[in-house]
Amino acid sequence: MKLLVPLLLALLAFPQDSLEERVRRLVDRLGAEEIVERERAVRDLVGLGEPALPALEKAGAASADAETVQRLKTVVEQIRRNAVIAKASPPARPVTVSAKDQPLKAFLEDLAVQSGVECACVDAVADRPVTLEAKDEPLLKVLDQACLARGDIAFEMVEGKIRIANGTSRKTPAAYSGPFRLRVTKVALQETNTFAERRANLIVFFQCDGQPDQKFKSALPREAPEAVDPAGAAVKLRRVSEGPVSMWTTSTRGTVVVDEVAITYDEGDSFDGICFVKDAPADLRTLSSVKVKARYRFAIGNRPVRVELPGGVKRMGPMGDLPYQIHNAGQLIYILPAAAGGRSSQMGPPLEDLIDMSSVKVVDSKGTDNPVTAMPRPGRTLQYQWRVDRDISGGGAELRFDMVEMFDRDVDFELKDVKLRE
Amino acid sequence: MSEMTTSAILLALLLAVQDSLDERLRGLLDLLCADDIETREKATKDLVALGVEALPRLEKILESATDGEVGSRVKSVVEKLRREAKVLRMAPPIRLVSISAKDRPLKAFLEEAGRQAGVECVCVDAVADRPVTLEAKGEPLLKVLDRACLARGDVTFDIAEGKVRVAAGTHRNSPTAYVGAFRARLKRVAVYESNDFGDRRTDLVLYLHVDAQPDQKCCSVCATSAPPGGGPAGGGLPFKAASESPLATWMSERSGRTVLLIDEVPVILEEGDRIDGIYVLKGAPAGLKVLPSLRLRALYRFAVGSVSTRVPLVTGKLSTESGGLPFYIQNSGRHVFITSLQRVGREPSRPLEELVELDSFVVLDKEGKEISLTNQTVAPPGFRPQFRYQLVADGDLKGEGLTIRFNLVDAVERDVEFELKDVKLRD
Repeated sequence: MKLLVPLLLALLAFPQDSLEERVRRLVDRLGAEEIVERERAVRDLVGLGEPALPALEKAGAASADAETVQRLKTVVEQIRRNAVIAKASPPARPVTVSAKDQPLKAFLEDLAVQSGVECACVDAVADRPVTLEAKDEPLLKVLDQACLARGDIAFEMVEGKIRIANGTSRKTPAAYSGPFRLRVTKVALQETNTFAERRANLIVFFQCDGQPDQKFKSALPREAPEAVDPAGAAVKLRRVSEGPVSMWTTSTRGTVVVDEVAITYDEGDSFDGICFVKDAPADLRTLSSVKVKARYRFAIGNRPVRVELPGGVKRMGPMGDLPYQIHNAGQLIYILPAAAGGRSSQMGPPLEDLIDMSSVKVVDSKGTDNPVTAMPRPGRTLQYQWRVDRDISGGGAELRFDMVEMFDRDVDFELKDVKLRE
Repeated sequence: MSEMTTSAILLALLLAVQDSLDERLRGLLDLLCADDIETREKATKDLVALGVEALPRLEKILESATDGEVGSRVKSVVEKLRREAKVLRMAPPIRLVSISAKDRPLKAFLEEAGRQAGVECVCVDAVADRPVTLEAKGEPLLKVLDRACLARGDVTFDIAEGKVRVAAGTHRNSPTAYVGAFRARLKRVAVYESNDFGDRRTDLVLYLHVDAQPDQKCCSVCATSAPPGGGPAGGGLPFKAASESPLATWMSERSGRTVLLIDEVPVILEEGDRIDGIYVLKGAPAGLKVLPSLRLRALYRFAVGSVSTRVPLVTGKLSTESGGLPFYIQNSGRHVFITSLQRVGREPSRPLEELVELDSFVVLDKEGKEISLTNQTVAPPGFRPQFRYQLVADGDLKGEGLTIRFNLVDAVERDVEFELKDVKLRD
């Protein structure tokens, strides 16, 4: 035993020595003749991850070569960024279960251990038996299957965990990709008969979500889905956000009219996730395949930005690279979608997904900070307004705010056999 | 029988009728001088009952009548008969059509149908020779025309400028009911189905349209609030009239379309649609494909004159000599607001324009000088004003002793009940 402890200590020390040695060797290769080798060394250093940071910082401080120092700086930044990303979006851990009449609570505990996601249930359902076989399946798929198999429980994702309670789980068409899920939450059919012609529009509501350990800020289909009918013919699904939107209500629940199709939406529905088929064929009842490319956006930091405020005779101006424009009305600043003076037919992401709304301030031409007060936003519209304490219409002022630095994860889903109507 | 003899007999018959009318008139006029009031009252009623045929003679009698009770009674009879004459001009009695056409050119067919109905029926030259085959016995003109257009399949008609005009087109085979000169059609059906994989919901929107033969010169037509439908099992379905539902939202676009949310159901008004006659059924029974019976009441109004009225311009209930109107009037110094006292969505309200000629409003100051008022009431397309009217004055309305003058519409109303049978909503 006395011998074992030093041996273990030696074994533990060995990888550290090895890591430092690897860092030293790779740092040496940063000065290689061939650029390919230098770049491979950068990649390998980034691959060492967070444990290599102290050694990398030490190496950077010790190096006299400017290019090596610069490359090491890039490596350190990339490792730190990767660490933030890994924290915001940890890799999925599939689950394998073989449950036969296992009490729900124990079943969930097993899932939690395997997936690394907290799974809990209310006491009222803790003893309900679950029978399920799953091998290397995504957690959300296993939970959906378990709830549907029982028929008397449903789960929700709140406050970073899974919570199961009494309820009826909806048998929505769903597709899974790692920790992410895409569902068709609603299908609507609108038939109009004028006794001269019949028209039918189909509306499909998609919703993307993910395991609670995935701390994404938004999850939306990033382009129109590709769909085919059972005969293999393409079905053109259009997204509401791609317009042309002629009108929409300014409440969280209401109606949007896009290309003459009136669509009612609920709170939580996104215009990017609502797709429609105008004048759908009368026999279209099922989509055999729907491929959806979704984008999950993770906020991984903030970056300060300065934008010139329009002033003087020029009251409107761009908001940097953002799809918004600024209207300076003296003591009121309006931010409106860049196209069509605020009644945009191409609706971009809401401003709060792009900037830290609490960071907005105005710095006048003399360099004085002017705090701003956000005015109530009219419902669902992409129109924002702030009040400034003094008139800043003269020009020379700046709008300062923090841009949210995003990391995007693009996920491809495929839904099979989506039934649209009876 | 010679033509001469026939004419002589006809003239004799006509004179006999006139003699008979004169005799009855004389008798009734004598009774107007009776001692007991019951006889005088009855004679007055009987004079009115003689109808507009007696009007020319009574007008002559009135010219020479004294100011006594007889004169006053004759005057009231003449006024009533004059109004009846106007009503007959505005809403003549229906003349049914019987026709037996086999490959008859459309133009000739229309001339015959029009002659029988007393309605001008024309067609464009391009379709004049198209043959029509149809049998109809004692049917309303609009029914005959609908049937003829549907039978041919390549012609349709519209009603404009006091006549029926047939042209090339596809006539809609919409569920229709006829009552005399009046028609109710189901113009459009919208079925909304939503499935959230937990619940399925079906909502229905019916767009009904009421109209009339062109000889019916109605000033307004609207479907009233009666529930229109019976369910497949005979029970009533809880349809809601769009015009009486609280509007959650409405939006209009440049193309003339308006979208409303009524009880969470989208209602789309195309150009030409009116909110009257639109009925919404939220949560329709699953599998509802046919309505065995669809009842609809419609109110046809015929303006037969107007009465100038003058009341003090004071904030309060709008009262006239003939009684109060269900409106509240408010003078804001420059604008006059007139608001319904009835609550929208609770009970049927009568829009102001049905009671008053909106363009007739004038304010008079205490010297009698006129201050004109311009109607600035705005309503979304397809809507009546939401029972709030706004008039702007071309001068100050702050003085004392102001009065407001306007014309009260004198209208007769026909309440018509239609029943559409076996209305197919969807396949």
